[in-house]
Amino acid sequence: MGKGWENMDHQTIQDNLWLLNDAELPAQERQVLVDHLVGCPDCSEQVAQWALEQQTFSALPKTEKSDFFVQQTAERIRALPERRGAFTWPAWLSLPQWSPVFGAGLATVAICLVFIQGAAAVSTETLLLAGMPDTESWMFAATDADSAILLGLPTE
Amino acid sequence: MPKIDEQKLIESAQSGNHDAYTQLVQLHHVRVRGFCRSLLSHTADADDAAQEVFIKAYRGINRFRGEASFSSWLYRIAANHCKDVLRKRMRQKTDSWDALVEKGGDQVEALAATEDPQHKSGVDAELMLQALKTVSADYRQILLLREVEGLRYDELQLALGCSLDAVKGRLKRARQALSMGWRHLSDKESV
Ligand SMILES: [Zn+2]
Repeated sequence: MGKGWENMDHQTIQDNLWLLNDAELPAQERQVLVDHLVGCPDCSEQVAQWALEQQTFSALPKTEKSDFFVQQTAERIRALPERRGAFTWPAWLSLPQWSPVFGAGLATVAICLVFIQGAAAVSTETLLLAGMPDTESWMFAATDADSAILLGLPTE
Repeated sequence: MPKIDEQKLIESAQSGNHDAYTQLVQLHHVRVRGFCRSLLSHTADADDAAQEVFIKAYRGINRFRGEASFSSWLYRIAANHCKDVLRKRMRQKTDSWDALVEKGGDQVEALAATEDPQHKSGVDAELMLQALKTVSADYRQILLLREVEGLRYDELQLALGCSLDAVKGRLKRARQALSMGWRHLSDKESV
């Protein structure tokens, strides 16, 4: 039964009638509410009233299919400059047996860079940022209008 | 269309296939347009907005990872885009956000204007249109998204940018307000 609605107060049951109405309840919980409706004229009346109103909603105009819209959108998409595909490593580079080789190589390059610069102490940050351009420009260069869309930021 | 086919279309579109993306537009345009219409008060620019949504989605499709459904992802982009459109309108008309939302009454007028009389048989759509005018713009919006556009709770949550509990609460209050308006108008009509 999960939520044990059979023991819940009437207000909670009434609140959940909306979920029943919207088919947003799992089957088992739906059964509990349907059982309640059988014996409760108040709730039955509420559900019947909403069913009547909902029937009226179906009389309102729905958005229709539009081939013109699809065609126009497709034309605009075709006119866009070629999109760059997502960057992926070649499959052979992703094989696990290459990981130690890359790790060792990267560490060697970083240590060499540090020695060339004459620094005695090697911090993690130095190792990670070695060879990168100015931190700020490197970090923010990836931000573009498209990522703004997905972050919900204005795109202008 | 089965889910697996949509997945194939998405992958194909991600590798730059225009035709695959056009098929995705074909699959989702009715709901995305309906969604934009609901958010933008059924104004003429709603279809333009829907088109922009599909273009933004195309540009960002490589970032779609499939954690949510493709339609939910589109609704999220659409909701953000419509917010921008409303903000722009607000700047242009030196109007306040609240005033614009309150102007949602236009939405009801537009619904009435585009109504197909064929749909009216047997039920009193006119009464519903009147009842919708009696509730606040927030309530009207969620009611139209749910009842006319058929969005599920999880889609409403994404589209309106609120929690599932907030969706349930707002929908419940909106329906109660609508029922009250409906009953009031029915009583008046029967007198
Ligand atoms: Zn009851």
